[in-house]
Amino acid sequence: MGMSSGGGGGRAPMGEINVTPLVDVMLVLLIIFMIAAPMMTTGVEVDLPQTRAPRMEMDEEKLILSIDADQRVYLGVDEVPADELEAALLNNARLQEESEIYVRADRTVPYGFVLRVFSTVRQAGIEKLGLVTDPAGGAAEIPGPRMPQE
Amino acid sequence: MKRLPTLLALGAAIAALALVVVPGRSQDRPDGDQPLPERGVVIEIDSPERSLYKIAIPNLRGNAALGSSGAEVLRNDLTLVSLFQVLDSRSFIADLEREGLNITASPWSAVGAQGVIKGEIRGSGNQIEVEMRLYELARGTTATLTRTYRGGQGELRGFMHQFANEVLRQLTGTAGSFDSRMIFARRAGPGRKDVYIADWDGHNVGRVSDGNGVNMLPSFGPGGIWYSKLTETGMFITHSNASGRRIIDGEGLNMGPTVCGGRVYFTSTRDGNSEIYSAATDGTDVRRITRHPAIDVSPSCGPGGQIAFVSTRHGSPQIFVMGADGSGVRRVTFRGEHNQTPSWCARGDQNLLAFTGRSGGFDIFTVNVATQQYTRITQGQGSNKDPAFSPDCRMIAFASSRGGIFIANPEGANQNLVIRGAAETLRWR
Repeated sequence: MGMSSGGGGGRAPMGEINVTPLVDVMLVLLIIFMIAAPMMTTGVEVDLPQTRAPRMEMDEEKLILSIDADQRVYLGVDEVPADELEAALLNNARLQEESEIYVRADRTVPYGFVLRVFSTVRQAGIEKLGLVTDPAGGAAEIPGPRMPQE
Repeated sequence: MKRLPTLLALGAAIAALALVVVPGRSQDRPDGDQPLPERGVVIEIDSPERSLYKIAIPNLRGNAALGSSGAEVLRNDLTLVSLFQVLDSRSFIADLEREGLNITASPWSAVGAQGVIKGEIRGSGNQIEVEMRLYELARGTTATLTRTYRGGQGELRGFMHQFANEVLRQLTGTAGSFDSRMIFARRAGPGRKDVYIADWDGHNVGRVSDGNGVNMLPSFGPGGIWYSKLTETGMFITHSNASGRRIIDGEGLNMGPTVCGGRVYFTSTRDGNSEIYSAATDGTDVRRITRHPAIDVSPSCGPGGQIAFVSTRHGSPQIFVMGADGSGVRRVTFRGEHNQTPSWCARGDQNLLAFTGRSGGFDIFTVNVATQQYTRITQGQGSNKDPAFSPDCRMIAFASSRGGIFIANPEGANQNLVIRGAAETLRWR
């Protein structure tokens, strides 16, 4: 901006907002939201956690990443070997365009494993991540830690 | 934020591109399935490939080495023509072994593919059979295009180009011209220049002229490749099957042949001043078709027998168009001080002429001779000269000081080097 003072001593006021820090924040932000799954017919068998997540309309068109009880990862209905997941996500033209993915993880999958997948998802540049939960009975019950005998 | 201008330029270029992309099959639905938003035109600066047709081309089955090189030919063709986004094979999650030549929809739609090309090579050596299939996911999992090619291994590139032509016909209604060739002149040493031919994608470069003296200004025509050869007193015109015979000769310079409607058009100084003449293809029946004291050079045959040429009759060099007999001369370039080397798009409905414009350096432009709409193809990235349209007019080639023959799309985007080394006066057919 043309705010420079010819031979002046004092500092000229800044004419515009410095957006760089804001951009930096945006780049590390991973937007996570929860959605309740409708009748899912994805073909991958996953026992979803039950929650009282607000019922968001699920966009059936979005790509779904599933993690089954044996910690196998699927894109859509097709299994992706763990060592190929990052390349598969990073080079996936649809994900790069939509920048959004739904994750259906089995309730028994360790938190650490799910986070590793999240981190891969974020490294692939995907900013919005939907966690799919099971609304069935969820209105009455918020699942707590499971007892070993269950 | 340094990337923003680049992104804007890219976005603008691709937005222009969107005008020529016809993602579906129907000509009566040019907007595809994305109607314009009501609030006006939105230029996507962050996802410029949005309007390109996303196509997945895994390696052909049956032979690892050939399968990989064959698929690479297709990927290169479809990338350079600027209508496709060829998907990265590292993203593929389909079980290619199990699928074979068929496809299942889900793993391909999961990677964003709108189309998938599958192929299989059977046999080896001089007897291979290549089966190719195109799938359009919007139309199910039955191939919408199937072709089988038979021949020797050395023909594989040609098979792939032919199939790419068919893919374009299937998806846009107009076939591609990926099996085409370029001819051009190149300095071969001190005092030596030769005419060369190459596949448009830079493969199979070969010399056409005899390797002696100066041979230049090539053109496609009956009998082979026509060109001009320098002598001690002037230039004559010959072609690649004439065994060095002078087809068109005469006093002074006789050069720059272009053939259409069974006649050869060329520049000659036989009457003292540089004028355009025509002759029968055996060199007889020479007729002068321009009569002006200014310089008239560089005839170029266009659709419907129109001849474009360069003339200084209005002061500076500009492009003019006339009928095959020299009638109806009209000027078609009205911008810039110095325009030269006209070259037509062969599709008559497009009225497009490419030329070299000089403003400081040399750059490539096109003009629609019906509407006077100009498009600038290069923006001063080095010196760029001597354009030629691909036969389907989806690409423009030109010689660039950046290292050889480049091609771009008709909006000037997606510029790629295809033939390395100095080159001039190219023609593409």
